[in-house]
Amino acid sequence: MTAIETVDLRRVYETHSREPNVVALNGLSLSVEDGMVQGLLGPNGAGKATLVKILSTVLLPTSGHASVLGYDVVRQKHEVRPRIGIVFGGDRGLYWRLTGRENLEYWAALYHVPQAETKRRVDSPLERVGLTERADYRVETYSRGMKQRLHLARGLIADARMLFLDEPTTGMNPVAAHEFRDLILELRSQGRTILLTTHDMAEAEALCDAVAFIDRGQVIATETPRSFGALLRGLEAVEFEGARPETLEALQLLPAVSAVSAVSDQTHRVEVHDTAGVEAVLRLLVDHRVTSLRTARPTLEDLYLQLLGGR
Amino acid sequence: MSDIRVFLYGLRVGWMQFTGFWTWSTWTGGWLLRIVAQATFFAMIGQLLDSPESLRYLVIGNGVVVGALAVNWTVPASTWDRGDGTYPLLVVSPSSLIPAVIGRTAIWLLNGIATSLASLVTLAVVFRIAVPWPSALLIAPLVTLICASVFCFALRLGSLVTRMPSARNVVHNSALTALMAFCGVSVPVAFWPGWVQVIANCLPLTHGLAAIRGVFDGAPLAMIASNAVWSIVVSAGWLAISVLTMDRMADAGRADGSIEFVR
Amino acid sequence: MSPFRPAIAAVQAQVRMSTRSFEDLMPVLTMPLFALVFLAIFVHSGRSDLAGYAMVAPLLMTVAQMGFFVASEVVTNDRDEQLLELLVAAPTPLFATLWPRILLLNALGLVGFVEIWAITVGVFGISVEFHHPWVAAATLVLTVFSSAGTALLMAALFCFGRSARTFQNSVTYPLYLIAGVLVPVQYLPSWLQPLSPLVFLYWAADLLRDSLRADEMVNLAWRLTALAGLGAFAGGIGALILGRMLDRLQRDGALGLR
Repeated sequence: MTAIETVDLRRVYETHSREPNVVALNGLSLSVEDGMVQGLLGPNGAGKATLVKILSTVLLPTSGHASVLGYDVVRQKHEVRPRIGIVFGGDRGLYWRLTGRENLEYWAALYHVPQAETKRRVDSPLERVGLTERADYRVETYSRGMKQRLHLARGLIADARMLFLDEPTTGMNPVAAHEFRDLILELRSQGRTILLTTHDMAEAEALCDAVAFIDRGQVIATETPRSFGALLRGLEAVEFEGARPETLEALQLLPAVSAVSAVSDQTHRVEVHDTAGVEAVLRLLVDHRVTSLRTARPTLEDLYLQLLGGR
Repeated sequence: MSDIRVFLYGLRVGWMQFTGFWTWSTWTGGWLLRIVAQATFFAMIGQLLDSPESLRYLVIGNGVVVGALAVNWTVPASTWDRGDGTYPLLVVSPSSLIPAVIGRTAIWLLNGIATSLASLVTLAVVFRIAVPWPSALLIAPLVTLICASVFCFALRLGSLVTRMPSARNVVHNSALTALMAFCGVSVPVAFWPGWVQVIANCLPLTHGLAAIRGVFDGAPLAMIASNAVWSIVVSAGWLAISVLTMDRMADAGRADGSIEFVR
Repeated sequence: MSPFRPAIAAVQAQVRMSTRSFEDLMPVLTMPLFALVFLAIFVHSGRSDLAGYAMVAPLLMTVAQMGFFVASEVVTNDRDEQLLELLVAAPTPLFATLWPRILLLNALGLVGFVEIWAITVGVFGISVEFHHPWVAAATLVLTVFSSAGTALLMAALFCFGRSARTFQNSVTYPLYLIAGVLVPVQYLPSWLQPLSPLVFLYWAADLLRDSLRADEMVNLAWRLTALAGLGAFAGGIGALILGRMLDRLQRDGALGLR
């Protein structure tokens, strides 16, 4: 079954001034199968959050069609809402005068969780996100990471089949982010469908069955993690300092090297085709007694340039 | 010299904030209308009592106290740097906190003076209260003195509530009600028990209002002047307390962490 | 699941939030202090028989202030805190939790009676009797309802922006004056008096003052209906405007923005 489907989805924000209207989604079409973890990767302003808000019935599209679990998000929003869990994240979106537990109890009521089940449905997510000890403290005392975890717990309250997670690990420390990944994998094993937006490529690669790359309101590519990983590895680079002219010449001659450029007065960057190329470059640099060197992970910008260049 | 610059910039911040909320039309049609309605609300008790003396007493008292109401906005305004996130930055800057706070809140002093004068004139016309001449020329300076006195008092309260911003409106409103009850606005100070009178005489409105009543009642100039001098003394006292404690309140906030709270 | 569960949960959450905040309770703590001022005037003038007026007025002002300044802010506060989006996206309709919260906040205004009574008896030693206590109780219940309806209308207007705030700050005392909350409206200029019955506080003040007297209550059903009807009218208009406003905010993508 198709859990999420969008066809030519457009969302335009009118500015009501001389400034041009903002086109957040520009004919976005996407299909997500039931039981998948679908990643949405893209820079800020690409349209990821807008898409999530339309699918979660917070926002109305300007044109096009979107459905969640077979229900139209505009005409059948009342069917969509009980079936989804939403995690927007951020510093707000919580009642700061209530405790973490009280927040969840309230949302449990709003999501029609029976009274008899509330305690279990509140305690379990709290434990899962590691907030049990702080559950009875007011949210105003929480750190950024704790608030993010509480957002996640809130999204799990409804025990929904479909989860929308909008940059869920923002503000989390590395340990919490790692635990979050375990949680997502656990949820996937339970057969839930998850739409996850992120600009963390490692997170997308680790968690998603498929990753859609979004730029300027459109999907520019959809990759599996395997092909995604290959793309990333093809964009690896080595940066080093203290290069002599003969070193640079030798690097240019290596077949695996695609480009050598100066990043600053002291630093040069060597881009390679694949992992074997990294080995060859490192060996050459060591032979030339270059000791200050590091491998550089591709940035999101690198990835996009690659994808856009490929189009 | 730098304190004056800081004060002037603070004044500009306060002015921009004030004019961001009020325009001329909303100030006159909204704020002033509400103020005159409030003063009338209390003054009409005199009509309920069927007592021209009470009516006159309440008109004068409430025409003045609405100015204090406006000036007393200094109390919550003293915490607005918190909401803007600029309070900790002000505290740690090389300049003193005092000219910045006084500058930013001074707009409420000006608002108070304008409010009180406009209300007194309106109420005197509506309720046909005779205004003696030429001693009426003293009313504007006395209103200015009263508002300045309340401003100094409000600065002190304002520095207290910076430690507990969530209580700002409770303190602001309670202080105003206390001024209305005890300072000769609604009933003579002598109505209250002796210990309340002692406190009332240390509050900013009492002596200035007595001076204004003296003007309306055609009292000797010496009596008016004496009350004005006492008003200045009380103002100076509250200003001194405010100035001496403002930086200490900030230090206390740094010690207990309350400086970080926005709400 | 009980259909009332979301409403009950909303009331519970609002009670917790409000009792942990000076801001929400500010009217309840400060408005009753006006009893001190009113009673001082009446006692000084030898008119302790008007002490009942000095209790009725601050109580009504407290309930009204809770409506004008606290309950009416519920929607904009939730919007500022990025909660409105989440509430709209929940299966429970927004009004199912919004109305109980607004009603609760207005009802909290009645707690001010404790302070008013303490001032009347404790400070001035005056005892006031309500000769028609059930009329007084019914009036207060309907006053809370009407104040909540008015608050809902104001909440809807606040979605339009900052200009509505000027209205919020300006409306109180003109309404108290026109409604005769303290001084009965017959002391107002005759050209103002026709406006008085349009304000729910007029009916509330009149009924409460009459319930202090031993005389038989006149036109009771009509007056209670008028009190409730004004609140229902304001609330109905408010609900309509708010519903349209939320739709517009959803279309414009401004549910989470200010």
